[in-house]
Amino acid sequence: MKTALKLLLFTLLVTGFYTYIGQMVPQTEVHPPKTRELRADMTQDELIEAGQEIVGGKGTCLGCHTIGADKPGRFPDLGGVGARAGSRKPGLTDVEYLAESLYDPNAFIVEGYSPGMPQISKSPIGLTDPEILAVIAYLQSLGGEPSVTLQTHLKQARAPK
Amino acid sequence: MLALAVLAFLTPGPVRAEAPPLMKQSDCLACHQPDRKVVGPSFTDIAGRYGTADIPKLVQKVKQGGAGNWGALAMSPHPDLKDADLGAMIGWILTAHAPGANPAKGPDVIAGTKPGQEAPAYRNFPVIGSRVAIWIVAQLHLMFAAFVLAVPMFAFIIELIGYRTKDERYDHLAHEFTKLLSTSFSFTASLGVLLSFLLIFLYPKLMSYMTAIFGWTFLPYVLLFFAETVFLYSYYYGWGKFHPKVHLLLGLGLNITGMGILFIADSWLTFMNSPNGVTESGELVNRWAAVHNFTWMPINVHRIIANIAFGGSIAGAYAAFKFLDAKTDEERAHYDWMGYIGNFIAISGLLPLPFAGYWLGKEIYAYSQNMGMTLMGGAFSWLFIIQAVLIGTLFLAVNYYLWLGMERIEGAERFRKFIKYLLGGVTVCFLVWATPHSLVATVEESRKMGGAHHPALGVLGVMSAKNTAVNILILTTYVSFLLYRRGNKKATVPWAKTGDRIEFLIFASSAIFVIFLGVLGYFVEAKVRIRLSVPQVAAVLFAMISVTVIDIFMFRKAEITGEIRWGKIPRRAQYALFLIAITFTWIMGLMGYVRAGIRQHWHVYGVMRDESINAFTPTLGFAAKVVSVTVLLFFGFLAIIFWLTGLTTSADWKPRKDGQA
Amino acid sequence: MNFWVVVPMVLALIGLRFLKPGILLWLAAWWGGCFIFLRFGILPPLPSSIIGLFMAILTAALALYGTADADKLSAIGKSLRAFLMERRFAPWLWGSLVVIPLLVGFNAYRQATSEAVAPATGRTIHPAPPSEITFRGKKIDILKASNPFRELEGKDKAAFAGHVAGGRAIYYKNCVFCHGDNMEGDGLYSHGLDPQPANFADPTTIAMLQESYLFWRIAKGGPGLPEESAPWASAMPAWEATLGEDEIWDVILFLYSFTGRKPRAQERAE
Repeated sequence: MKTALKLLLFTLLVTGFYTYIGQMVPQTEVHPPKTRELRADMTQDELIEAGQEIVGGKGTCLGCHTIGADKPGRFPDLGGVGARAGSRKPGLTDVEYLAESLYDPNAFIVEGYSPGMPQISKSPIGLTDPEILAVIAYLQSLGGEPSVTLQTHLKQARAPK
Repeated sequence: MLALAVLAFLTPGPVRAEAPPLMKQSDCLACHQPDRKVVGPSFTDIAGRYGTADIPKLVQKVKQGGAGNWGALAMSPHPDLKDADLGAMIGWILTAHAPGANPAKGPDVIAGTKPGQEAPAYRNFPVIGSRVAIWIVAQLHLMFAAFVLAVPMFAFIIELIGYRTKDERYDHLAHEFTKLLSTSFSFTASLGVLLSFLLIFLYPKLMSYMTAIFGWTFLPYVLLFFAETVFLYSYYYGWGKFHPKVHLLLGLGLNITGMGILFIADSWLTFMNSPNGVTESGELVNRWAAVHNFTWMPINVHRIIANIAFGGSIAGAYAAFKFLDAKTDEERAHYDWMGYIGNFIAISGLLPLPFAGYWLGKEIYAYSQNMGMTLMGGAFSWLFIIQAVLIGTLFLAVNYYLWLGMERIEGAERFRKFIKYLLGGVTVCFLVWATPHSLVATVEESRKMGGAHHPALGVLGVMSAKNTAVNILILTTYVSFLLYRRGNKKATVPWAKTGDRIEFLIFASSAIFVIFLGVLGYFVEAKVRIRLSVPQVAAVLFAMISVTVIDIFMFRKAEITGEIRWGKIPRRAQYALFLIAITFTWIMGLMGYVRAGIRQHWHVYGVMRDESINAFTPTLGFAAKVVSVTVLLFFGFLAIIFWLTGLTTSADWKPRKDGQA
Repeated sequence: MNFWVVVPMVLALIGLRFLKPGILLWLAAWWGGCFIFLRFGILPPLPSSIIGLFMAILTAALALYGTADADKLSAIGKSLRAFLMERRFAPWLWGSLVVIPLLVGFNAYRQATSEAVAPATGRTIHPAPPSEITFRGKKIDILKASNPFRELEGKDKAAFAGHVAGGRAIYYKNCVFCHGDNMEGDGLYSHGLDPQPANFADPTTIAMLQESYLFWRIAKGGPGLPEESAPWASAMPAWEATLGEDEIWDVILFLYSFTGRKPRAQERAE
């Protein structure tokens, strides 16, 4: 009985210590991403803002991409992408190029990088077509003139459910 | 708790007047329900706020629609309804649902209990909430299952050793391990039943989806479970009653069925992490692909190895308790030996475990970059600092037990002088492994550092340094074991000196190689750096295997310079054994949390969203508390099991007589 | 590393070794040595969270060392008994009975008198700039913009000096209160701010950045910082309300000229 009590005390001490270690690290609670309502009557600026929100939140783009960093990380830097999107791939306009990069990321790989970006139009990220339009508007705004609206039709867009 | 919840659920409520027919023809019920808030407020809530005097006002309200009284969602206008009809309907709502309204006829049913009606997606568990309830029960079930799967594996191997070497001690030990099984087996099954009840009750929607995908695996699962039960009890009660070969065959059957059960159960949970064989919207395309998903095999392998290590450590803890409680030297000798074997099994599982974990991590990355990022770089990156503290403690305790174990070996004193260097190595590796990349610092401190990264210490916070530390840690532990093994032996082969030198050379060169690659990691790009861990691991494995081979040949005909005095080990060594078991259990809890946690707000990753109030990922501090509660519950149950096992004091194991068939 | 602490400490440990100290003293010396090394020996100093973690591990390791074999444990027991019982250690024993409570008391005093400190948070040092900002209705491309007066440095020394002087006046009217006389981020107000104002004398701040980046940070201030990795909690005002475009470029010239740093050159992306 004495042994059992000693071991009980020992167990309590050790688990207590590990619980304490658990409290010592930074505590963050991760909440599911909020979806922003995309309305047809949004202004261009609101659409860009929504796109920026998606890039930083639901789209999880900034986990890998940087915007205007000193040195590029594992994926291309997106700073000024709006200016060069039109000339990346011959025959594609900037909107077409960005749409292809979002719907089918491995169709064209920027020189010096490896493929690896997931199809963000599919689960688990699962951006909807309007959300992708908002992202394109935001990307265009990085160094270029945004031209897409929610009415723009992309050939990759899926039929409404 | 469950019984109470079921009781509350089944208790009939008051009865109430039937709704006027108009009510059913109009669209009210699309948004309003008697007792439940759906889109609009429930009738009970409405009746609680308004009286019959408010009817004219409410009639106008329904006709015009609008928002603001109950929430932001607007009610659509209903201009086509007649005032008189509306008045009757509202009157019914107010009177039939008023607090204390005298029910007229028919029982008041509880929402979601009509047969054939769709079940609610979630139900709530009182006080601690559904998620924590499932979390604790699932984790407990898993721990017991791990123990129940692991023990037959080494009981079988130990029995086989006993059979081959004709050493009765091994047979006795295998029997003692198996003795722990039968009660644990019932506990595991009970917890499994509790878990499935809870899941079906609390997460009906998820469970009906999982049943749709995996329904066909339930029958083989149940059959295997029956088979396992038969094998287990015939193996345990048939000890010494069958021919040894038949008995061993029973043990093998027990292991195979147990493994089958593990594989089937793993397919369910790995499907939730990395679904396969289903379309984007979750419809089943290929049954086998759903089972054979990305992380299925890695989890199977990782769990088998971890189970062995865990089972060994729990058996070691049992022996430690028995040793501390022992009255005679004979008992002490026996349990010292049992603890030693348990610890040996734990180390054998522990050393390859990081490699299996590495494979699992790689598969997670291959399955989904997002999930990999969440695991290593995102919310969970701090979890690995906690894990480092735990595993560092584990390695310290394992080495400490080996050093103290030398006390029981005559002649091992000559190795004591090496302890400090081994300890130094383990400690430095531990420190490196536990160093976070960005440090927690107050404003004043980060002012002095010039940011969250320390210029000197930041170097230790990255992958290269950690991989190197783990490899050196494994190597050091292996050296401790080697010294222990040599404790009472003196090599007699003529090349003994050369052999020593070669072994030393192998250790030194592989350590230097590992460190060199670790340092090189800072100077090459990420792509190359990730691949460097493979040669590191290879060097450590090469060193361990080649040294073992040399050592076996060198000490084959070694002179025995002293005897091993089982039982002559300090009592504090038994606490080290106990610490290993607690730490192992805690790590299992932590890893269970991260495995389920990386799904984040998904039930089935990318297919089925968690839409309950528990969709968020809790903080590490909260997870640590839940893990601790689970660990304490586990040890509590374990104490009951050990106590029950101890009740059968009758000598149920007898030395086998020769020729017994 | 702070050699003024580390070298004497190592020498002291080596010296102690020659005196053949008892195991207890030796462990205590190691413990103290580790602590002094972590606390005072490393520059810049380590945060206390990490010192706590390391010391916990080291304490455990030293405890294991002292108990890892029977001889050491009995030696520890013997020295401990001797320390408590024998007359020759009496002064030491009494001394420790006085010193330990004093140390505890001092620690309590220090904690009670120290000011409340904001909880620690992790943050990114260089926020990512937008590619373009709207400055008083005018679009400015942060990726491409360069300081219009920078070219005067080679062409027209007098005009350049004029712009730097203008920047100086602006700095001492507006910036000095937080960023300090020597631009070390230690101005009068800096003690009330978290994060502290940028230290321009530090080679890892403005010397690593392009002038257009500084323009963005000055014009848009704390409110203009990006969403990601929030909260920034920067107290930097958005100076576009007070300063004109030319004035901001002037003050940027002054920042570099005063600290003697060179801005990072504009590099063409591709």
